[in-house]
Amino acid sequence: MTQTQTQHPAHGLDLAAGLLAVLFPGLGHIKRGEFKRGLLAAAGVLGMFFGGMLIGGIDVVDSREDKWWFYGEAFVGPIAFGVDWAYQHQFKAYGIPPETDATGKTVYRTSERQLLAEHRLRSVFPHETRKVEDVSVITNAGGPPQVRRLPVAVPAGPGEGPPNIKGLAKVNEIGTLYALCAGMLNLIVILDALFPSLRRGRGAGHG
Amino acid sequence: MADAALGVVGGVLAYTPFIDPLNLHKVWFWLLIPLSVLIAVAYKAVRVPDMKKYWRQVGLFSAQIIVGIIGLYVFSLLVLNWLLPMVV
Repeated sequence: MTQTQTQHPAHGLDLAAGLLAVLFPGLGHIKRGEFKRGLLAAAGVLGMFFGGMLIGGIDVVDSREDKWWFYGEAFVGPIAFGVDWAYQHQFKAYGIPPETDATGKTVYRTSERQLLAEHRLRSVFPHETRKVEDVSVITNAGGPPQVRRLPVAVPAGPGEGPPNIKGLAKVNEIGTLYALCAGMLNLIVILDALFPSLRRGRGAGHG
Repeated sequence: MADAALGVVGGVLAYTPFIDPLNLHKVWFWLLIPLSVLIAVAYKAVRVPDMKKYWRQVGLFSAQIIVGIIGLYVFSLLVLNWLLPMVV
């Protein structure tokens, strides 16, 4: 009994390993000297995450349109947040309808309230393209409209198209499932790095 | 600049890996097999006491997940095509 307690300590917390595991899948185990475990955990988690992106495209990681899925995917760590940031800032556009002013020039007008509602940031549709334009925005505080440079979804001209194709149906579902499983599995990997005494026998499996 | 760096501009019709989805709509169910294997690879990496048995454990766990998925498929098929028509 005493020997068993020695091999499986009741308490144990490795904050540094836990933090490193949050930063990058498997890094916590590598820090603890368990190289093989760390590398295999990273291969599994990252294989699922990027496998999901390969199947469903970048659209499988979307904190705005699929926020509940993203809550699970976020456990992959900064990589998931980086991909989401790239998708929100480099691929999506505001759905502001173009208007024509008195001189015949195309202008874009909206308000801060509309930017969060009907003109919100969204995926660019197949018949559209993404362009950064001067947009006249009425602020919530009132006063004269502010001109801001915002990405806008505009009708695509010849040779133009959306920055990415939005995944649909089963391919999107499977891709999202891959990325979600990556997050859930990495949560297990993080907890294992954080509480090493709650798992295997001491010294077993050091890679 | 950032757009160009990410290959966003141009490339209208070209497929870009990791950006655009693959056209696997007709074979989506086969994608559950690599998912099962990858789940087993990550899970068993932190759960197997003896790493000498790692790949055997990965194979076994992958098979268990795949059998479980097939079992759920058969169960759903029976409920939808046999049980529900009897009840309704």
